[in-house]
Amino acid sequence: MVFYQCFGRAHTSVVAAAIHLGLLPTEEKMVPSTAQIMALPYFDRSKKEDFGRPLFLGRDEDGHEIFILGLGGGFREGLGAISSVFRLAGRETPLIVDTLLGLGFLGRLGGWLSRELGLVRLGRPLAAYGVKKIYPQLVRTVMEVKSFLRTI
Amino acid sequence: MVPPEGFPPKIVYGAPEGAQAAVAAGIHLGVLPTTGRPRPEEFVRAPYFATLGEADRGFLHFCGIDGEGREVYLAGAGRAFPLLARAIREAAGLAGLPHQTFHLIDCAPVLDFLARLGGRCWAFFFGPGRGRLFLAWTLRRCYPGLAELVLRTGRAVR
Repeated sequence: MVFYQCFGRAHTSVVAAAIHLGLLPTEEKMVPSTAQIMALPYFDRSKKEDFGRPLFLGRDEDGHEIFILGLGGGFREGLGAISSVFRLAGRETPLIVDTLLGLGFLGRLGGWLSRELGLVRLGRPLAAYGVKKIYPQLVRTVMEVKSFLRTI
Repeated sequence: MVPPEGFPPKIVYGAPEGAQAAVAAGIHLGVLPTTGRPRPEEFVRAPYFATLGEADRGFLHFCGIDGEGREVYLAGAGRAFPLLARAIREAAGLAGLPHQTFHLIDCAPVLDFLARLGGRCWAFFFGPGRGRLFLAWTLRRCYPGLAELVLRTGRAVR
């Protein structure tokens, strides 16, 4: 089980999960267009009530379940809680991957305008542009996750 | 402490600092009284009192089993209790635990200004393992509120 995590599970986590599931190119140089990113299901769609709520997006070629998750400002708290619950249930703790680290100012501003202020027409393309800028980094992260999953 | 096997009801007390939730857990488990206000040095009887820091936030710490077989846990939640509660419920569903396993109790509403400020100051100036009496002193005034919350929880979770 893999949880791609970002602030609101609306932008970088959605794109990372899409790369993992083969919905977007897995090569660093093949950066998708802003329109392709905006057309992804769940891109820039989540609400505040979705914080802490993992969303199942599909299974990868090796059968791993791929989720997206937004932990808002409570990354540490959410991480601890999820790990504890899985441990109590005697289940393997999911791999939680933070995808937010590289997102620049424009991407964050776009996400905030769209999700926080409701200025979707302005914020969504800006967020997609911001994600596009860090696409190679997201591909590298996903590839690292995939190779890690093959070692366990 | 290691929790027992199976899925008995689990009561989780959450508060901005783990120590505040520890007091609620201590009252629930009977190591602290349900009436009056204990002396500051008595607070250390509460499990994990003043031993958890920021790095422990979110993790569920098993404190013991009450007289009715319910497991009692605590968690430091910072200002993210609603998110913590949602994450626990959602993760429980994904991990295959029965829907009603976790009962999440937010202690923050019964903490007064002194307790909140004290918790923050304790985390800033002292940290895990130090400043126990200071932390206990900040919690004395809102102790009856915590005890009332625990009694209500005990009645509500059957």
